[in-house]
Amino acid sequence: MTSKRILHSNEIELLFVKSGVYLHPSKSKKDNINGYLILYRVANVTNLEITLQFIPESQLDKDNIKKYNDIDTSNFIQVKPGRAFVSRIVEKPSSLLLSTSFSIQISYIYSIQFRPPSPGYYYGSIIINTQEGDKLPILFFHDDESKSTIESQKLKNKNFETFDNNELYWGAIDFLTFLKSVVNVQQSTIEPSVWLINPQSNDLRNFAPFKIKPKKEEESFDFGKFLNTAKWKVLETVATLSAKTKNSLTDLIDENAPKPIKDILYTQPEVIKIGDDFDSARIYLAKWAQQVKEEAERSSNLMGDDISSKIDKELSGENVILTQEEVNSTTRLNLISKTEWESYFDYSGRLRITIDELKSRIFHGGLSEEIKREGWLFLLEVYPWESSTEERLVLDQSYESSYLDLKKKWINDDVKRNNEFWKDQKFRIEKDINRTDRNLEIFKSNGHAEGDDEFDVSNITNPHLYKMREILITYNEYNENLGYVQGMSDLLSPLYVLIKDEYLVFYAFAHFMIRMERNFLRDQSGMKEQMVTLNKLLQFMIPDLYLHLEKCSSTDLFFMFRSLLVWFKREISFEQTISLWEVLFTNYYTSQFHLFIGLAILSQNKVAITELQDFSDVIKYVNDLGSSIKLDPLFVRAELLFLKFKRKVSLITRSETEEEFTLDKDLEGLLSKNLVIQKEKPREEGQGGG
Amino acid sequence: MSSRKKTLLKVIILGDSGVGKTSLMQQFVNNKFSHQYKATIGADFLTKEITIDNNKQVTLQIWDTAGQERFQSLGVAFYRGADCCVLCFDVTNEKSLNNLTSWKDEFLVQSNVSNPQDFPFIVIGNKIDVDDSKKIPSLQKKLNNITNNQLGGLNYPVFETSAKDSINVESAFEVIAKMALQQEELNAANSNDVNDDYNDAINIHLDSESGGCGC
Repeated sequence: MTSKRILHSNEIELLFVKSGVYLHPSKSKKDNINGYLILYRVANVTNLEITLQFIPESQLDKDNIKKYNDIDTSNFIQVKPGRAFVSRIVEKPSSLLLSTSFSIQISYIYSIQFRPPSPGYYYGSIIINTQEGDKLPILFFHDDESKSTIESQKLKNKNFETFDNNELYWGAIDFLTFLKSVVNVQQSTIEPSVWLINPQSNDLRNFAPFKIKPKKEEESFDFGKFLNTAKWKVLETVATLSAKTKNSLTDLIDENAPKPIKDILYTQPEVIKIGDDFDSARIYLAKWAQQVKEEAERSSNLMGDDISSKIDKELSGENVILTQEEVNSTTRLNLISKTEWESYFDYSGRLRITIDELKSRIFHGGLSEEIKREGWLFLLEVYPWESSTEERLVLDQSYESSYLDLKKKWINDDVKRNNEFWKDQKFRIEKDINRTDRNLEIFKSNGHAEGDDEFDVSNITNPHLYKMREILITYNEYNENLGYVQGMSDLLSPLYVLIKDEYLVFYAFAHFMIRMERNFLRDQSGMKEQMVTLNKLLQFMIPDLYLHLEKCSSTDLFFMFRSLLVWFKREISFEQTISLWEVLFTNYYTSQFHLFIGLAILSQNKVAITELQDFSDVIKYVNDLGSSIKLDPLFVRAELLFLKFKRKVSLITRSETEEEFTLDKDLEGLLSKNLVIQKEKPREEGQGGG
Repeated sequence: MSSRKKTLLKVIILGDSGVGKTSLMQQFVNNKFSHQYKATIGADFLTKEITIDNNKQVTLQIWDTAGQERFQSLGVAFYRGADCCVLCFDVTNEKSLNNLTSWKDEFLVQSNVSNPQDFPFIVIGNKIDVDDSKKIPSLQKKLNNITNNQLGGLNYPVFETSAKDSINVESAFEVIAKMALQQEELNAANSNDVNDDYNDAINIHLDSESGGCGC
């Protein structure tokens, strides 16, 4: 890589070349700009002064194209003895100001996001974020047009090493590998697709994958205006969802990234209001910051005093209480409209952004009414995320026929239908169906005159209730160890209301039950575990509230039982339930976000709860919270609590130096996005369904 | 033990799912009825102030519970300090009648009351408004059998009620309140009296004239 001769001032040494790299300035293929991604250096510069450039092929003459291509494939060319190695010295590309070419010194790059090809996105791409907080045009790697990528792929196939460390090989991997050889590149712990370039210790500490763009526009790059043109905007919205840092709250408080949150808040007079009847965000966040500080000072229950005081110091001293990044990511976005939703799928109906990006968008905004049905089928994995419209149609048919098969099993089996257990279960289901969400319009009608035979619970004449009965009896067969348990009809009805088609509702429900089974176990162990985890989380995060609950003999958190069993459905309205579950379905931060919702409710009501005297006061208060719960601020609070929790955990695990502190297993589990699955044991002979 | 003191009496309603526990509580406290009360999850309670006997004011704290057996294990969280336990069944559902004994046993195990032998229980058979043809055949005989033999032969008061038509609900709760008050006074006495050797002496039963139901 070292130059063999002194470079002239009009020459550069090409260190890296990747062909088949494109700009996609519009959605139309004919606008694509084919070019090279190169890294080069001029005479006598350090690695940090290496320049990255995108150069369109159209700007190179034939000679140079050949040279670039040779260097691109230099790793694959057998150098014959006597033949000169590929020369890396070329003339300096002409003007850097040409509209479709751009360059940047490596030291000015803050981070690069690598987005590998995914089922919805045929070409992988990278997004370069500058130190100034700008994004450069997205570079797409057309792997099928890049000689070096094709060769490399062949070689890997030949050696059966398509997957290196489970990483899919694609064009940008070569680029990343090369970058790592010349500068310090660190993967972001918050967003693994993002790599920080030569990160400063602060960046690492904040784990911030993107630099926040300062308010004042500085003319730092030639193509700043280029970026602002309308056609780039379109691309950017589609392709950089996860990088979305622009929102009203951010725009108002994004002065400088690492600054204690309360300072930011106190110097910013106008921060948006979250919800009508809620404190302005300023007061809200200030209170929260204050509270966090107090809590941190007191948190000692689960930790050794030394460690906890170190952490407290860290949390309340010069350091930020919440990083800018944390605040940025906590403002709720708008609901996803039908148009927006459709823009995430290509012509064949395949998702064209990553699953994580879409989940982030749903988590932070939610789905609008008209796309909820489809969205839920994806969220509940009835439809695979990578499926096309056509595949989904085929799936629909197979779901329909397999559901009918399942149903026939109990409809046609007279022996089973006369079995005591089966009759009990059927009775249980029918009794509960008759009293599930009857206040909703769809379930109101009885279809027969009042008093006809109102005590015959099998006489379900409302067609929708009847279908729910069919679904639950089928589920009772389908998961025979568990069977139907009270509370399940509550879990089913929102799915039914949104999805309607009996067979699809069935599979949506069956998939939902995979994670909810633990709530219904005969020995209640799954519920107990969750209550224990919430208990530990409360001690860890809001220790003073925990101490108060201790005085009220309420640390068993029995008052949260109902909320946890049916995911707050009895506390909030039906519409709210749907919005909440949608957020929980994403598993965006953790598969147990419902515990953070629970924690957020307690945290939000801390002042009131502190006034309560005993067990029954607490249970009454929580049971009757109902209409006082406002979702948006609750989501914000739960998310902040999660991020705070994660940060606290990382502080603990970082202070490994002196004392050994192993984080509680249950708390550790809260950082996982994997579902916690607990299955019911087989039912013993003669054991009832109760 | 002044009669002027305002007393809180804790009452637990138990019984199979769908026998009408929530309805009974709602009818007594709020005088309303619906076919569509949701299945109770966890536990909830309502309170009502009533006056009994000699102008004594008491507050009844009535706990409504989930009927499915597997949720019973939660009882340990809120049975504590109960002054009376109401065992409910549905007069159209024989299984719910047969389960009364296990509800009682489960309650005693989990509540850890000081006097399991004579803790006040009361039995309520709900839904008497339903057509006779739907009712448990020879209910009286079966009921006597259960109260006399399985429930320990203590002649618990039995009421047949209709939460829907508000039949006997008020009188049942009046008896519940009296029984609960006795238990509460017993507990108070015991906690005042460190040396509780006169525990046995206070074995006062409500006269088992099965107040008001005529069964």
